Amino acid sequence: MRRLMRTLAIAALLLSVASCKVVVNPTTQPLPVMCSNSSFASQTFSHAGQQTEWSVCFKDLGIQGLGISGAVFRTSPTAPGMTVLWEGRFADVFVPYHNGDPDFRFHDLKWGYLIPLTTADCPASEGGTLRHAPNPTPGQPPGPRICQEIRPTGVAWRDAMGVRRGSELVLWGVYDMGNYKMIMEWSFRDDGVLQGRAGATGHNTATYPWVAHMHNVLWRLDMDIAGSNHDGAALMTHGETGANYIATDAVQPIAFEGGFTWDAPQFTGLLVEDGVRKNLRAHASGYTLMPIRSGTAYHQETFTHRSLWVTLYNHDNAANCGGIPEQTFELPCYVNNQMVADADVVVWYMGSLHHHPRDEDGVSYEGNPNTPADNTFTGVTPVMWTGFMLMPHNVFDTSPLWQ
Amino acid sequence: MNIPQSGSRIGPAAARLLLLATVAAAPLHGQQRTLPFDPLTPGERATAEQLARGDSSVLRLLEGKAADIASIELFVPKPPDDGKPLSAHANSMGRRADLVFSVLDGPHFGVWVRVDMQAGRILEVQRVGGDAERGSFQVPFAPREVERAGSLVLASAEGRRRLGDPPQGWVLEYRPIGPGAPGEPCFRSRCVAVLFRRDRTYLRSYAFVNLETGTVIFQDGAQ
Repeated sequence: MRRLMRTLAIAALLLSVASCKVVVNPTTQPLPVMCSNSSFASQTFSHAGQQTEWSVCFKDLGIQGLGISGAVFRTSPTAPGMTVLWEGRFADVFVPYHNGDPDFRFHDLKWGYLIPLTTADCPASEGGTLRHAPNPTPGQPPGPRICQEIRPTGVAWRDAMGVRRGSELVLWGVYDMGNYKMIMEWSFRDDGVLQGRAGATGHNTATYPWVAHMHNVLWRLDMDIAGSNHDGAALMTHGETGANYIATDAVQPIAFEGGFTWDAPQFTGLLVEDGVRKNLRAHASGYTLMPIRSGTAYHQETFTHRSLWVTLYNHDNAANCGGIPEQTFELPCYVNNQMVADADVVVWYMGSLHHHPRDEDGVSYEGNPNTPADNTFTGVTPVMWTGFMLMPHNVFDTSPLWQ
Repeated sequence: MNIPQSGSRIGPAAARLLLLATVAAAPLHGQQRTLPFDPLTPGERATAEQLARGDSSVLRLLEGKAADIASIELFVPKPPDDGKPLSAHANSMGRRADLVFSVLDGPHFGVWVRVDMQAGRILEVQRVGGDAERGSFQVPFAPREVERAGSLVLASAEGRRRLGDPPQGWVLEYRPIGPGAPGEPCFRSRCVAVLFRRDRTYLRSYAFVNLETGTVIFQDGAQ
C-alpha cells in the first residue's frame, strides 16, 4: 500500500509539472527586449479581445536629439514581432531666413541638446512618465529629458455598429536650438501607425523677429520591415486623367537610389515592402510613408530640392561628401546610383514649417538706437508642427482592432 | 578609410583576448547585462575616446591639432537577416562607438572615427569637412567651441558696451551658421551666431563669431 501511495504521489507530481508546462503558451512570448529598462518603452493595446503591441528603445543622441532604435510591432499576442524601424533619427534642421542674409541660414542640429523636462511638461496626472536616458554630452544640466505618455488619438473607426477610440504610446523631448525649442516626438499607435513629428516653439529670433523663415526638418528612417534585407521601395501616386471620370493610381517600384518630389495633387507616398513577409492573404507586408505637411520648400541649397530620398544602407558615401554617416544632409552627394531593390534601404524625409511671423509671436521694443539694451524682443511662438506617418500596408490580415 | 587590423593599436591576438574576456564577463545571476541598444556607458565613451586618441591614423588626420569630441554615440552593426528574431542575435551583435572630433585651432575640420568596443580597435577613420567646396559646417560643435565663442563676445569692447561690464544677467545662446556667401565674414568658416537673453527678453543685437579668425562682429536687428 505504501508503495502504491508513493507511486500515486509521484504520478500526481509529474502530472502537475506537465500541467504547468501546458499553462505557458509558447506562442505568447513577450517581444524581444533589445535594451535595458532605462531606454525601453513598450505598450500593449487591447480592444474586444484583440491585442496589439509596440516595443521600442529610445536614445538621447546628444547633439542629434531624440532617436529610436529597434521599433517592433506585432498584430496579436500570438504573432511574432515585426521590426519596422532599425533606427529613426532627426538628421538635420535647416532654418533659412527669407531676407537674403546669407549668414541667417542655420543648421540647428550642429549644436544643442535635449533640455531637462519637469512634471509640468509631463504630468503624471495625464499619464506622463519622465524618463532618464543617459545623456552623452558632457557638462549638460542633469534631469530627465524624455517624456513617455499614453495619449488618446480620438476616433479610430466608426461604423454602423460601433466605434473604437484609439490611443498611442508617445516619446518626446525638447531640443534647445538657441532661441528656438524643437519638440522631437515619436508616437506608436495601437493600429500599427508610427508617427514622427517636429514642433517649433520658443522665441522668434530677436534680430529679425518679423522676417519669415522656414524650419526644414530632415528625418533619417532606417526601415527594416521584418528584417534588414529584402526590402524594396515604391512611389505611390495618384493622377487625374481629366477624361471619362477616370483617375490613375500607381505604385512605381524604385530601382536605384535617388531623390523624389512630393507632389500634393499626386498624393505622393513612399511604400517600403518586405520581399519575404506576407500576411495571411499572401500580400507583401510593408509601411507607407505619408507626409504630414502644409507645403514644400525648395531653397537654394540643393539638398532641399527633394522631399523624399531612398538610399542603400551604406555609410561609405559619406566620406566622399565630407559628411558624417547618419548625420549628413548632403543627400545629392550621398546618393550613388546603387540598386535599392531587394535590399536594405534607408528613407530620408524632409518636412518644412513655414513661419510667417504674426503678433501672436510676441512684440519688439525699439528704443534709443545708441543704447542696444533698449532694443529688445519678447514673446513666445506657439508650436507649429510638421512630420510624417508610417502606415501599415498589408501588415494585418484585415481591419485592426475591429468588432 | 578602412583600418587594417594589423594597423590597430591593439593587435589581433590581444583583441581576441579582449573579446574572449568580454564574452567571459557575461553577467552573473542578478546582474544587469548590457543589451544591444543600450547607450554607451560613461566608461565606454572614455575608452572609445582613449582608443581613438591613441590611434596613429586618427593622430595623422588631426595633424597634431587640439581637438574635442563633438559627438559620440553607439553604432550597432546589423545582424544577418536570416529570418530569426532580433533577440536571437542579441549576444553577437557587437558594440561600436562613432566619434566626431572637432579641431579647436586654425582652419577647421573634423575627424570621424568608428571604434569596435569589443575588439578594442579602430575600424574606420575619415576626415570630415574642411574642404574648399563646403567648409566644415557639417561637423557638430564641441562644447568648448561654443564656450570660446561666448568668451570672445564677452571679452570684446563691443560686447562690454552692449551687455555691460560685467554683463548683467545675460544668457548667451548659440546657433550654428551654414557656409554663407562669398564676401561674408562667415563664408566657409567655423561660425556661430550668439544671441542674448535675459529671462524672456532677447536683445535685438546679435554677434557673429568666426572661430577660425577669432573675429566678433555685432549687428543690430532689423524688421
